[in-house]
Amino acid sequence: MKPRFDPTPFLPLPHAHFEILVCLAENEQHGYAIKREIARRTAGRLQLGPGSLYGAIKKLTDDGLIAESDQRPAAHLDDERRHYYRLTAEGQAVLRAEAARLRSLVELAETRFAPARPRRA
Amino acid sequence: MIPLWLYRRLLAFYPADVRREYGALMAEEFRDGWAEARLAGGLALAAFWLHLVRDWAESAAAAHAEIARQDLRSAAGSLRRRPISTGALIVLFGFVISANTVMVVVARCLLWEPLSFEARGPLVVLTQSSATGTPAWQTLPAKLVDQLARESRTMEDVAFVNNFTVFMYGQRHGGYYAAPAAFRNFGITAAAGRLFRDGDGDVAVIGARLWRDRYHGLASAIGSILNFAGRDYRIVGALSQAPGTLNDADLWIPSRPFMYGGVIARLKHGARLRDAQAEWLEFQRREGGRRPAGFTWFRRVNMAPEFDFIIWLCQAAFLIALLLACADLASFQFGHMLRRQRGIAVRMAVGASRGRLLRFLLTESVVTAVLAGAVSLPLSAGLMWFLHAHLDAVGVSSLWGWSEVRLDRVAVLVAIVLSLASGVFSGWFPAWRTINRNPWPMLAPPRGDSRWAVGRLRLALLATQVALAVPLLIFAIAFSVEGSGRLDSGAVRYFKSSLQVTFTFPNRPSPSARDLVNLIQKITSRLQDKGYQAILTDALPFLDDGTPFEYEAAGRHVGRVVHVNSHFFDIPGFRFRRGGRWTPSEERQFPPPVVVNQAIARQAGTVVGKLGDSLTIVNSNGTRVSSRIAGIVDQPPLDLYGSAAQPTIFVPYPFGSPGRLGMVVRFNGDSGSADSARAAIEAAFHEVDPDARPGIQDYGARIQANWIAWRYLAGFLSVAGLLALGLAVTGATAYLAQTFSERSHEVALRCAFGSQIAGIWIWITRQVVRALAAVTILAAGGAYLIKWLPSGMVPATGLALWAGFGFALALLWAAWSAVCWLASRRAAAEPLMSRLRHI
Repeated sequence: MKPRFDPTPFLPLPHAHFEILVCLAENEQHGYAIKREIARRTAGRLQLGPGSLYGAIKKLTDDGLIAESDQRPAAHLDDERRHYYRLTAEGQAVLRAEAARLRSLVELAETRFAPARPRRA
Repeated sequence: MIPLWLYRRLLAFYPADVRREYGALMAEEFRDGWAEARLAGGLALAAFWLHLVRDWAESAAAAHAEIARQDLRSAAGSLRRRPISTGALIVLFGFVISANTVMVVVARCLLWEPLSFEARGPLVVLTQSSATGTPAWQTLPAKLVDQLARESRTMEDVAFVNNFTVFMYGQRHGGYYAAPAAFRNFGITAAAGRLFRDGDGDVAVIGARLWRDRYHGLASAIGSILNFAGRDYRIVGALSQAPGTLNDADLWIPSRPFMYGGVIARLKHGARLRDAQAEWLEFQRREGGRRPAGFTWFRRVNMAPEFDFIIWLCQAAFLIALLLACADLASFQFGHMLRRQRGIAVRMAVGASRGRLLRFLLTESVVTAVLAGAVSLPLSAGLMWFLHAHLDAVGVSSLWGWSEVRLDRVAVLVAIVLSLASGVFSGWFPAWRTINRNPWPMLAPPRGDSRWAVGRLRLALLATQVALAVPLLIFAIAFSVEGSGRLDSGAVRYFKSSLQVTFTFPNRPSPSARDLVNLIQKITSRLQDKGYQAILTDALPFLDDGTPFEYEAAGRHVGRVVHVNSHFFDIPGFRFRRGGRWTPSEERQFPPPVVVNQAIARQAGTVVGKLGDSLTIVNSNGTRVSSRIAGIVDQPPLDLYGSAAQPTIFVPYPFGSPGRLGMVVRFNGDSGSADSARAAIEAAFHEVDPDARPGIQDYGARIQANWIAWRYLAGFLSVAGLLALGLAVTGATAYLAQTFSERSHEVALRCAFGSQIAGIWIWITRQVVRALAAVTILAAGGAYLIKWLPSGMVPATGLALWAGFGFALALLWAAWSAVCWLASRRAAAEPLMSRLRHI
């Protein structure tokens, strides 16, 4: 029986890695699309150059969190130069764990720093 | 498209596998981004490039760091598998790197690096070469130095300096007669008052020690009067600190035109030593051509040639030890690569680049060497502390630059460079050989022919280690034996129980030269009455070098002059070939009777050779003295660092400078006799002149202390030899471990057929004996080059060399036998069932 995958060693994920996994969680995408999508979603705050983007893709691929996809889009949408990537089951688990971790952090911060309620007169 | 071409060049900085896998995609990415930015306009294009360069630098560095992390993890795992052998290798390697670091730092401080006060230009000194090769100051009249200062085109701050020692206020003080330019040369400034200037009369500047001890560091010292040698001097300034040994000078007095002293100057910008030399030759030709001197770098003047020799020899020895350590590491690397060759073959088969594999394989050796480098740093600090603790007290601290020998940034850098370079050097060959092999045979179990090839390679490495260890051991043993032999010569033994006596006059100025000679004569005859024969000389045997001299006719330095009394020839080893010593009554005759040694007679047969010949000596001041040859003598070597007697002419002591004379009085050996001798000396002084006081030192102990250079040379070489032996043993252990693990089935079979430890020992030794014997003989032949080393310090006795050869070979073979015996015993002690598994 295959041992259950433990995402803990991958946490916390670097910001760029998290964003890439989020992009691929929606659908399979190629590098340039991932880059554009991240820039759009972060309003230009995170702009990945070719080195950072493919460095992150290589690390995620080596760790088995993403994989190159065999499926190509329809011919009129396809760009032969591109390599498409998809999220693996391990990637999904890690993404879910990282999201949960971030959520708990946000909740903790909200609890501690929530503005005090005004007292009733 | 130029930008794309440029970006492809930048891609070369990424690791090969990143390039291969993602290079094309990254280029496409770049192309799209660049096209977008170009459409957006100039500012966007600039921002695009800025962002790209930053991204490139960060991501390329991160990719390399990731690979380095992986390689380091793998190397650490591999090293942890054999903790004892790896630990031993790292410690030995650390010792070798620390020894090399210290030697490089010593050479840098003593030989290469400019001194702190030479920042404005290097200092030069006018010197003449002495018989032992140590440059001796050439003395000139002060007015001639002034003339040289005015006329020189190549030098500035040409200054007269002459040191003196004087008793003042009941204490011995050192000082300098100097021109004001000397202060500029040494970078000396006044802490209070001022330094003296040209034209100052009877003024003095006091050193920091005298200012502190006598004047409590108060400014009121300035302007006070100081009586020195019967003359009053007004103190105009006090120094806080002077560089190096100049700090010991308590008194600085302006030079006077009639004085004789040395010349120190600074080369002008752009001038070379040879320019200064050419200028001096022209100058001295105009002045009569009587002084065949030359300018030398200042830092060389107090550097005896034996120090150079020790530094270079030790550097060579420790460099050999470093090569030996590298061979050890390479041997370990071969073993490790053999063990992981299947993994490497798999990597090669799946397309790992050769560069990547080379980096992976080199990491292990570099990590080992860097760990050794880390171990070497505290060891280097300890070694430097040891050197200062033991050598400062015996006068080595007087060498310019010695105080700079410490673990500073340069030393750390040297250790890092040495360890990195040795790591790469050691790992390169095993790694290169591995990555150039065909991966498919590496995947299969080792066959006979490949095992044979690997075994031969390992044997070659072992032979290299032995070849490097043999000369080191021979040098170490030969120098130790030679050192003991020289220190046990008849002449040295003669002075073992003796006292050195100096003359001091604490309560009145020193007498004139004539009065001093009369006093010395009376004291020696009084001592003779008491049963003690005193030897008088201005070049104490085994301590001092005599004054260089030249023949008038030859116009070159041919030896040295030593002023002695006739008892000097009682030293064992003196044998008169012709004539004899002068009698006490002849000591003051003119022309003086002189005795020349065979070395002079041999080299200048046309000038000297016949008894009764007249001989004109030109001393270092350029003064001519006529003399008559009274005897020709065979002389024992009177220099610990020279294996043969130097060319010497012995002149009666009244013709020398009596202030430089030393007296040596022998006694019978035990402490009671020493006390009696001391009492007799004090009584003789008191009887002749109550104002004169003897300064008495143990002369035998001083000779032993002067032996320090040789003792340390022998010590360092012994350390290098022991390291070499240790490294050779480590190498042999690695060789045997690998051989036994590879041939486990053969060992098992032999044991099954009844072989015992001795049988296995013989079997393994027979495989290596021819190679090791051949390299041992070759290396021993190479070590014989020791005979041609250019110094009187090389072992001269055949006994030392034979002892070196004999002991070195015995040590190495004993070490091999012991290591091989232990390994054989371990192999033979393996349980029967394990053996059967091998079969």
